[in-house]
Amino acid sequence: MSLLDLGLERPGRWDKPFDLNMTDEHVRRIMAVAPFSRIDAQKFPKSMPLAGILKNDTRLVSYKRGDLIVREGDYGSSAFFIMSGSVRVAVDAEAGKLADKALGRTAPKEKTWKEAVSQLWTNSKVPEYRASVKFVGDSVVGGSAGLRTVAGNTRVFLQDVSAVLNEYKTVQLHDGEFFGEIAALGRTPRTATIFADDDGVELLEIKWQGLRDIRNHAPEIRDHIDRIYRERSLNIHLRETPMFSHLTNEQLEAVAAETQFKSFGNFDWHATYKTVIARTAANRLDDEPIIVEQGDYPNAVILIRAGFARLSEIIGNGHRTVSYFGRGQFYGYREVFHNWKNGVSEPYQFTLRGIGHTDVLIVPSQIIEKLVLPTLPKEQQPWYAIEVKQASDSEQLAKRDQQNRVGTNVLEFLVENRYINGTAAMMINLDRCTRCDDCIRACANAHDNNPKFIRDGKQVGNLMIGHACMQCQDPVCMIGCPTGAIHRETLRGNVVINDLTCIGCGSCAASCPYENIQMVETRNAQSELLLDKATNRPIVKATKCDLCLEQIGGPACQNACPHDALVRVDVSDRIDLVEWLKR
Amino acid sequence: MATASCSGLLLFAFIVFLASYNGRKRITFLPLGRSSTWLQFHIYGGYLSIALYLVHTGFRAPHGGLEKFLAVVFGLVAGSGFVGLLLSRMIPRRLTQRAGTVIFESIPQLRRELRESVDALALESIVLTGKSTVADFYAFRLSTFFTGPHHFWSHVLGSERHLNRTYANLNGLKRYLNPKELEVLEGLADKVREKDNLDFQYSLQRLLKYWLFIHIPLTFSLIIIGLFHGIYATLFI
Repeated sequence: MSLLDLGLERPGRWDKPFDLNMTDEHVRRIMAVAPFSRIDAQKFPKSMPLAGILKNDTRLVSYKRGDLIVREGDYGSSAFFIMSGSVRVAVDAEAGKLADKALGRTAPKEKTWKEAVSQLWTNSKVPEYRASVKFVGDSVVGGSAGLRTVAGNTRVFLQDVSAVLNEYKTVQLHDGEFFGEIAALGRTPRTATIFADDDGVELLEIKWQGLRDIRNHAPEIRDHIDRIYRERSLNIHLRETPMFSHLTNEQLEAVAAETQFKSFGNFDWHATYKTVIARTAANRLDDEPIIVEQGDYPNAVILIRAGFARLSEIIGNGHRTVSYFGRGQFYGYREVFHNWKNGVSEPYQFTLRGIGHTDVLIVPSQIIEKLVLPTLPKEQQPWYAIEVKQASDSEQLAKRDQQNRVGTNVLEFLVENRYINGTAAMMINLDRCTRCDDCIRACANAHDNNPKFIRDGKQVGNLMIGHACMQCQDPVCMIGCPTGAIHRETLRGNVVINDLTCIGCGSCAASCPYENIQMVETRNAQSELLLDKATNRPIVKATKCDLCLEQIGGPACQNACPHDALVRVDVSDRIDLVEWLKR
Repeated sequence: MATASCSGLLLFAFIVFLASYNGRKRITFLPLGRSSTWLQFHIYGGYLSIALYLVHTGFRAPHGGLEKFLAVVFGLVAGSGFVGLLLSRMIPRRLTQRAGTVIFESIPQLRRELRESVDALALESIVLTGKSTVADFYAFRLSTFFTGPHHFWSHVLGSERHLNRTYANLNGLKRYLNPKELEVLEGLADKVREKDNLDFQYSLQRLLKYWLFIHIPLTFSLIIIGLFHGIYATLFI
């Protein structure tokens, strides 16, 4: 057998099309419709033709009147183009709650003392007991909502659309219009609830990868998306950034006009997470796209709009992680400020890389030097100048160790495993943990005798991250839920699962890179498995930690630990983290 | 007399309060303060109760059967509490340093899986090498080691004598083996280390869990005997 015989074909992006039913005829039909008909297909590379993108990264989906297409607050990885029919966008704040009502998503409320105490005798003795497993429709204005299956896809629909239209303020979108593109490309929550306005709605659903490639090669689509983003989000984002807070509206407009958007990495990073983290540190870094590189001239300040970035410096032949950034943080400002103030040209001191999927805003240094720095109040100036590196590697390592109070190993561990995504990661100090399992018992007591986490997980030194939902900043588990059962609740923004609308498809559990969602088989009061009449198979539900949202005492696991060995930590809040680690 | 009654009553109240920590652990869904705060009160309250006990007895040895019995039970409760405190401070570090973390309840299953894999390795060695030297050694000298938990006290006391003895026996066997069999023996040695780690985790975690089975029943016995002692003293002394 020759070596050639052992070769495997490298997996390609289009090995598994979005929809196997898409044909060349479908593609021809789409390309005959504006704006696709106006796109110059010659501008697309041969390896990525427009027709190929449409055939492999899109699908045609039909909706009936009242079907919810996107729900406010949900995450989605695709945008929509209306081929025929019309849809309604719920535009006022009250209408935003439409999806919540339709899906039976009631705002969680804390238990009263009486309810809390009664858990002592009302908790079920049967594991995963359910009195009811099916969503039967919740009261929505003028009628109710329900679930229906169309071509194998389960959908939530509004039964009395006319009544909804009378009650809520909505805007109609017609054929030839896009929606959902900003949330798809920017990995931000959907900002509105949209439902089908008539029975003949046909939508072209475009995966984010396809949309990105069309945007890259078709200026008319790029201009359209950029215009929408500039109109809706950019100014708000810039205004929230401390360095721009002192600017007038006109100055901010000028900064916004010069700002560019760029995405790095893989939107579906959770799908390749396990493969990536199994690689060596150097290989993992090679996979992370460089946003700016150490030693390059600092011609821009980089603002993180969504996702995460790793800041590293060269040590020997490798890179050492110095810090990590999340949404709202920025890099390059110190260098630009230093050069402007001292009239020098010092380069970027570190390398900034995208981790997973990173969406950034690039603000050119010229506009910062022209509009931001001359008017910058003294108290907002960076309080320390950049340090031009002259020390040897070993001196630098020692210095960084001193500065980096989290500890290099812990920092690398948190970044490499992407635990930086967690806003309530379960951290266990194994030097204190007596393995008494009081945390597990407390969790079970608070959840009808069903513990929602596993006291096990990855370790670095004496630190372990338990398998409990971390309430991620970037909750990839929400992508792909067909019924919106997994969602962010309105009280504290926690990611929770609506048990009644969960159809047990396992999409969230498969998407969670950290294995923090479990699928469980449900039972009746006699401890018998609940079976699906159609298939005679057990009815499964997704479960996970909800941070004891309804309990008056807060997270039971943390409160129950006798040795302060377990805490729920926002990993992006390094002060909190350092304080706990250094106790 | 009045001082003795007051200190006795206070001591009894203290002991009941200390015992209530066990109840607090079960009511985790009420905002009654964190368990760790309660534990601190429990520890320092425990020290204070010893002082109160000494005040109550007037620093004198107990006399009479009931008093002696009460004193012994009090001593056992205080002693077991102190031992528990030491264990909870010392054992977690040892568990982390040696073999990370293993969930106690999963140890029997892990042990069974390990045993099955060693059985397979021993059988495979006969097929691979055509000799039963390693398999015989395993069957007669090692198989019991893989069947259940072993060397509890060695692990608690931090001794590795049992492990060194096993390794010495494995090394002694090397002179009769060819290179293929030596490879199998290396695999067997790894499994021995793996099993010893499981035994280590099992022994130390068992100690951490089971000392409470002494401390808690003794505490409730103390409350009952103390109550009896209080009634007796009030009525007859």
